[in-house]
Amino acid sequence: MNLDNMEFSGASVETRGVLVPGRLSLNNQGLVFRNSKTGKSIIVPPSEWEKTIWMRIAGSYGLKIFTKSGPMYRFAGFKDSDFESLSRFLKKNYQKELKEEDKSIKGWNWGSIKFNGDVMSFQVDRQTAFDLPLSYVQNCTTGKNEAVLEFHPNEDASVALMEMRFYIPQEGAEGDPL
Amino acid sequence: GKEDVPEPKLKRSTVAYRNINNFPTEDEVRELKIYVDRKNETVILPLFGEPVPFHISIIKSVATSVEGDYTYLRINFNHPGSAVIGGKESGSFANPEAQFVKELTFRSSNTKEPGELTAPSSNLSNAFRLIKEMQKKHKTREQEEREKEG
Repeated sequence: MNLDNMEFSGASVETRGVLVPGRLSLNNQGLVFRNSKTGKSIIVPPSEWEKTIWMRIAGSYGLKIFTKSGPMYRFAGFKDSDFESLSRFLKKNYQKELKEEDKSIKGWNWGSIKFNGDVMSFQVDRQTAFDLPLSYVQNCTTGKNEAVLEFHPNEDASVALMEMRFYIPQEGAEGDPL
Repeated sequence: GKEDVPEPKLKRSTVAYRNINNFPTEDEVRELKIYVDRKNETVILPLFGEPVPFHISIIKSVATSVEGDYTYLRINFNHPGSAVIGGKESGSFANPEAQFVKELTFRSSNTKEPGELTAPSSNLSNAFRLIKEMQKKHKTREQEEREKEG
């Protein structure tokens, strides 16, 4: 394997709940994802990377990148065995640590809402249950003890999340950037 | 004394998965659809690429409706202030600072694409049926356990 260029041909990028297929490369530009339908590329230079996380996505493995400017990227289509070579590559070429995410799989609906750049994260027992890009939120309303998030439906999604409601206790309401 | 305080009843049945290796990798999970895991009494919901488990014990109700070309599935979860089913709830409401996912609504098309055997909305209608069944089973079992305890 050439350690200065890594390619994943069966990759995909999560776009509003849909995994869009393409080719993912890691090279001197950083992470380059080329959409196989449109030919358009997403380039995320390592200088922009805030945190790189190895995660479970859509029944398989993926890479999640939080950026310094705010947006989060999620790429799917990795194998369990890619972890080692990928983390070695990121360390050697970009001096970045690939962290394994301990995802909450407890199945609970109570926890705490945390914000990280443009991402809202729901933490259960100090573990992430899910991350929600705020750019997907079309409308947000708050009522007594409640926050309602409405999403742009993605026509390409077989099952699209339309709305999410949270119960927010009074004590938690202060400093809520929603 | 501390000895008098009863142990918090955190039953085995209130946790969806203890080990990530037990997390389902069924087609529905991979295709970002709803998957009802009857073995572990858990519903796995696709939240923007991430299959997220919700245990049956926190599901309060589930409703479905057909509006025009789409089927909707709404899942309501137990939270403080919601009518609690079956009397006293376990430790979940103990933390007053906790925030709760209260409700999730999904939408699917009723239109079959060429080459598809079923419309995408069949995933939602199946999920609705299976969640109802699982909920019934879970409640019956909880009831039996309570009666055993006396």
